[in-house]
Amino acid sequence: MGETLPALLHGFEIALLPMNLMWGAIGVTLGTAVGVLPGVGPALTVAMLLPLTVKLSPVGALIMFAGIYYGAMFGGSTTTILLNTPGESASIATALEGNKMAKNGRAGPALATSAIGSFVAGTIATLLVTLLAPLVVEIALKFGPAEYFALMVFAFTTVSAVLGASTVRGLTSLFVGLLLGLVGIDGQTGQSRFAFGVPELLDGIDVVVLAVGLFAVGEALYVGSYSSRIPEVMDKITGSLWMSKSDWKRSWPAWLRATAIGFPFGSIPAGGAEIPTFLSYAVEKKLTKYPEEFGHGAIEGVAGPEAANNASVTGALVPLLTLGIPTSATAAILLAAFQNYGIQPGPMLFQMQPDLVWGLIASLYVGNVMLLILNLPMIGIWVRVLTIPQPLLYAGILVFATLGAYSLHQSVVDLATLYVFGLLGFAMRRWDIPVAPAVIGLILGPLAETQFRRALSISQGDPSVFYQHPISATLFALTALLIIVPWVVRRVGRERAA
Amino acid sequence: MSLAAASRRSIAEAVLSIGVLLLGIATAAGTAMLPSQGGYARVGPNFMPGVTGVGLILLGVWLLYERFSGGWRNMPPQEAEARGEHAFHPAAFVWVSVGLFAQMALIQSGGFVLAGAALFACVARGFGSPRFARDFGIGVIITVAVFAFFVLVLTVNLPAGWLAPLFSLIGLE
Amino acid sequence: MRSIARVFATALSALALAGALVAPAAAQTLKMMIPANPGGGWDQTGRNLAAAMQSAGLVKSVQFENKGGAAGTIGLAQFVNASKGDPNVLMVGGMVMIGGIYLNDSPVNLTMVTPVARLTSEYEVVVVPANSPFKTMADLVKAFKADPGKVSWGGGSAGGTDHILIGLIAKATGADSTKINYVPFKGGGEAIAAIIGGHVTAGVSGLGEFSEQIKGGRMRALAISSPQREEGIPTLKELGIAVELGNWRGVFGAPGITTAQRDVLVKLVHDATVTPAWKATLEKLGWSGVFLGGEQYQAFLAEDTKRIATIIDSLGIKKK
Repeated sequence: MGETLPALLHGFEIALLPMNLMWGAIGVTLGTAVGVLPGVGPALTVAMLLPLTVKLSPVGALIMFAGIYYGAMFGGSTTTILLNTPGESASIATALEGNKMAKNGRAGPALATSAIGSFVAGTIATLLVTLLAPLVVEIALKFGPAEYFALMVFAFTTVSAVLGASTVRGLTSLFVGLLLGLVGIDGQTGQSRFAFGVPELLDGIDVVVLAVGLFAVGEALYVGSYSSRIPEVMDKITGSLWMSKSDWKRSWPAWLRATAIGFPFGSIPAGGAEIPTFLSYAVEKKLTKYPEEFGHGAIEGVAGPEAANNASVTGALVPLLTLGIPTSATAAILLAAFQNYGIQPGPMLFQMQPDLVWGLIASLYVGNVMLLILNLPMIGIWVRVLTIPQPLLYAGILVFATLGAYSLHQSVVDLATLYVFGLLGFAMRRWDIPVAPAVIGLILGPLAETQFRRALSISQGDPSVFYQHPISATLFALTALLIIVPWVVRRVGRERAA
Repeated sequence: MSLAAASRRSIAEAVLSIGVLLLGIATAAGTAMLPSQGGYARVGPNFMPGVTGVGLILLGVWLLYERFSGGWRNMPPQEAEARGEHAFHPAAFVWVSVGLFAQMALIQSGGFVLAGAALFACVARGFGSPRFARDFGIGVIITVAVFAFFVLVLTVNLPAGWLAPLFSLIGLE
Repeated sequence: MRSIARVFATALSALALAGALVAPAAAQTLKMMIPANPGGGWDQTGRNLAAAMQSAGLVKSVQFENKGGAAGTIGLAQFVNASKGDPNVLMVGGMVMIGGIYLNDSPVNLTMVTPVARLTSEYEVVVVPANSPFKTMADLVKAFKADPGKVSWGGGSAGGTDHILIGLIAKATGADSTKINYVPFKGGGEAIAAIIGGHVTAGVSGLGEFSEQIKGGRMRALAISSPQREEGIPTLKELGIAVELGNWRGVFGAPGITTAQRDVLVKLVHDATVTPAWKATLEKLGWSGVFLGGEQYQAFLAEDTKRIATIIDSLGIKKK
């Protein structure tokens, strides 16, 4: 505890260096932009920018990448409220009330409550990261291979089986990701697997190619085929941008409640920011004094989800930094950025790279302030970004997407692989198979396998390590509960309904 | 649901389910060729591929079961209109694909700029832009900027291709 | 200290060698292939060497190409195929590449390129957690010989330098090198966390990687693979284990260049290694300068390739 404050102050020294301030500003601006723009998300953006790691210092690059990650959550609300097309999956809940508010001529307060709510939640969540991360590090040092494996199985289960419309489709996506993760040289033995003698495959399938293929190429194929001919109608910002006294009074409890929901969901490996946003929406709907407004533009229904998604992405940094476990597709790509620098996040990161870790955490405070400025007084500029014609927008996305993939090895093989993943992404989108589990499977699968075999190697082949270590046993029990409880609840619900 | 849409859906579901099943079988077959020696861990490099293969086979069977017992569960509406979209527009799909293939074909010989501009113009065309030449021009501007950024700032070379003499003229190589 | 003296000795010989020819001027622009992703040891070697060259005005500009993967063999393959006869290119490489070529049955190898110079070496240290019951290397070796499976060794990738060192130790102490319970980790602290947390019995890595933990008292260093003590750690040799191993890195020229062209490169690289910029790099990264140019380097390579092949065979990890 006593060490945290000096460490954080040191972090501020680093985050406030002109260069790092600049990277942070670029990051949050880009983040807001990609949040605003439909078709580009933070995962894709960070993936496309990974080649920059050649030139940038790790601190600058990661400050920028993190800025993109949480900046997108700020920007996402703009599109959602004005266009009714959520830029991010984490903004879907916001669309329910936000667009109604815009239609009623209350776009201003809706945008304001999401920007200020995002700021409040982001800042509180950053404070929690500051306080919690060093504690989690202490626990993380007790994590051996068996515990890591248990934690990863937990993460796999939540992102694929529990979230989403269909367990079987989520699992299918995960297993496709796991299979892709197997390609290349097995780290434990040097055995090459599923590489078919192609030297480019020996190193495995790069997460950039998969993510860019699924997100950018797949998305472009899908949007082109199914919605490029629909004219978009944007609601104008009419009336005051400012929130009335009653808007404030109704917003702030929602922000705080949403932070309390969003942060834990982000920081346990429970995948993504969607669940907490919907949870927050449900909570607000239940607690509101104005239930009649829900469905017609209730401000709590915007304030809550928007605060929740920001708290949750910030919370996701805890497992990412202390355990090296990504809990969303973007976090998975951030992990790849660390790996590009030869840095494996984990408990040692705080000791070996204090400048990086604390500079990054301090940059979150700074970034949130920047984002508030970007998203409130400057909202008009972002609205103009939305007027980029769709053909040019998607053409630009694909140019940058292919650049990201090509510059990895300067190889046409990567471009061909990219197209194959684009087709896969198209099919998955069309037939409602979630994409994120595949990306997480690709990144986390090889790590999980490694930990599994490591654990068994150390125990000389005795599988009891997984249930004799208390932490891993607890995690496995939790995983089992996660699968069983929703199933039982559904059963009971069905019986009651019958 | 219209009859045509319903039959399209059931065909697609069957194809995808069988695809997953075949992928699982192929994985399992590939696993059989991997060595099993695992040293002290007693599980070797073939363990995880085996688990993945079996998993995919089971998931394929599960998807097929859903397909034949009323279709995949919780699917979004089959009609594009109900999803807020328009009907499948094959030309857009083809143009985007053509753009990507043109880029693959051109990037080594013609260079990054021409390949990227071709991609840009084709994708814009696919999304309904009628002005191919203008789009190509915009594509050239964007890709030249990227090219310069990579060469000058990142000192990473991208293929200059047919424009190489032009680039060396202005000091970009 | 001795290593510096040795650098000077080899440097002088290289200088004489290069000076004997009326060397044509070095190229204005040099291309450098780094067969690894940015950030690692090879990348640092290549970029710092280039910076040293530029600091002394030996070359005007250097263009880099990073092509990582498969222990450098993917970059090597491209270098062999694409730069034949080009006198103005260098490729970074090192001991890990030799292991990678042998383990993966790579179709390309280092006899297909032109050895220019060995540059640096990083020595390996054997550590245990601070609270380990093993106080000395002898304790550890004794336990290892009694029940090899019980002693788990954490280190870098299988068949890499760390693994090879354990193989050499096993061989030198008469233990069974096929029975090593080796647990490979990726770099960047993963192995450190496992060692400090006591999840593996012992750890092996470059001194630079563990140095801070040893000083901080969280790890105990039992032995180092260098010829002389470094940071007060006893060498394997003085502990009666006849093993010396340095993870060396060096540079190579294109296939098919003439001896004269090679000597230009040797001189260029040599001149870069005597710059203050390069010396500062060695200091900062904790590397030892072990310059070896031209033919001597080639001879060293041939010998090291043989040694590594033998030891990898004895580890029993190469697929048949």
